[in-house]
Amino acid sequence: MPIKVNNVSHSYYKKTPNEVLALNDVSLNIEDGSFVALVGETGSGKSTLVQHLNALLLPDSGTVEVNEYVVTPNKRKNKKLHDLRKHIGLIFQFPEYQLFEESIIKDVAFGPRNFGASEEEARQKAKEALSLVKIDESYFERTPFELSGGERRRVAIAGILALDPDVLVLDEPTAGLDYQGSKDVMDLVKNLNEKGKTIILVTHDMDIVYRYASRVCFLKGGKIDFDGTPVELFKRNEKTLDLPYLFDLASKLNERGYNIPLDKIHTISDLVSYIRK
Amino acid sequence: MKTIIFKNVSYSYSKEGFAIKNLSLELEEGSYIALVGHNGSGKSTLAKLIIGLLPLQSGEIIVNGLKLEKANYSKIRSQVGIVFQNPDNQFIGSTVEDDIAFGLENRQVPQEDMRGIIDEFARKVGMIDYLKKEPTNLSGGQKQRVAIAGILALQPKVIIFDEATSMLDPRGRNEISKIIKEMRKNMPDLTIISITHDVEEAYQADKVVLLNKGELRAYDKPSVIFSNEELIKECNLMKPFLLNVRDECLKVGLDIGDASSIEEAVEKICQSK
Repeated sequence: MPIKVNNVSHSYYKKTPNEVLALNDVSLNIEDGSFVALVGETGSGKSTLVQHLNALLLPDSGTVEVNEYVVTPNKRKNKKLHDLRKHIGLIFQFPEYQLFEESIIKDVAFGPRNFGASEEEARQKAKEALSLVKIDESYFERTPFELSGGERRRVAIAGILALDPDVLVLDEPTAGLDYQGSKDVMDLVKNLNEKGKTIILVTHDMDIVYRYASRVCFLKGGKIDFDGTPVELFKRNEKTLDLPYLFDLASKLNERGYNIPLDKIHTISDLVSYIRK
Repeated sequence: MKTIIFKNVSYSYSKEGFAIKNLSLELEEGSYIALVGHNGSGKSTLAKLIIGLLPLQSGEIIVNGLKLEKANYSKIRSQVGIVFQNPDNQFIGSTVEDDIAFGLENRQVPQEDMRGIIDEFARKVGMIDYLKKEPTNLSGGQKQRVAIAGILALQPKVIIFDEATSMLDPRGRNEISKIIKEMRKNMPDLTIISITHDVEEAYQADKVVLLNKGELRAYDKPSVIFSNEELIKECNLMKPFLLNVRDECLKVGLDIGDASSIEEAVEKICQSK
């Protein structure tokens, strides 16, 4: 499911004195199976952009194409949005706030049920999704509200995975989690990407961008200010970005005569192996 | 001198268990202390006990020479300020200057002194150009800076940051950590207690208090605590980046010791060549 965003603009508070242009003529192509990070300061348009990908917001001008689906500014022309939303799973910030059912399995099965699956099918899909996020079967009938923060987050993500979307959009999936919780979520996302799902990740965390993403788009004032690899982004914005420690250390060593390939190191032991050479 | 002394302090919210269990601890005046432990370890409970937001159930707490009891509450509270997690829950005034003035008014600081004090502390946190602004026009980091100015204006002995940066974006976080650095430099007598999940921040502190399930597991220099593999595993903590670098280097026979900054690590790696 390749995604094409064509010249999309979007304003909030239209026709009032407070009108803000949140997206300004944005174009972007995302290929199947890629891992793209969207970064930028608060208010740069990241969240507005991802909400266009499954037509939660409609563009004021421009179009979004996902396979045969085309989202246009005209409400009545947009057909099969229901279908589109099955293919593009959107996971909001703090998705665990949206848990509501009395048992974990019922909560995860809600999505498939809503898209017309039978009770039996929905349960089956929920089971598969929960095993993907490593929630043990013994938990299925328990209430989601007694889980830890990290577990609740994973159950909420399972609720989207149960729809088996081709594209997964995650808005700050590690916000507010402790170290282990963040690692569990990011390992899961990486695993899903390796299984062929397209990942679009909104984040502030440059360590995550460096470690996981193969491409990064930097939004600024509603426009895409940069589109390329993480290493290119860090090199270009050395002064203004919160550089990942690993990148910072490696590039400072390079200044002192080392020759560490910045795009090939993902862990500290990668870096150390180049120091020894 | 010790700013805060805990003697056998316990606290429980219900009959089922202790949020703080028989804790004894002495905090040095003018030090920067990171209070670390995962959710439910008792960090915030401890902060609330210090200023009497929660009543002391057993044990004894001495703040700056004053025993924590009802009669001393207001004296102690005038010496201890807290910056909370959510920037939207602690903005009281209708403008930045009103907000900084709020504490001063409560302490009955004369009107003619107030102007100068407000300007001084607004300048210290870089908010002097925003005095007339309303909170809705400020970012989270800016609101937290106003909260810090409001506390510093009262010239406390202790300032507590209760996960004060966890809801901010990286820019906001950097702003706050810069201010903390300046406070350490320019206010050597001020004790700073930071409740945090960020091990990189904790690594920069003078001392780390590590809590686990309400008990004091360790109180030592960050390099000592984070080098204890078993301990950090038990408490579900990440190892700070620079210690990871040290350990990975050791594995290949390169001894760079404890570096306190990336620059220092670079220097040591280059020397070992």
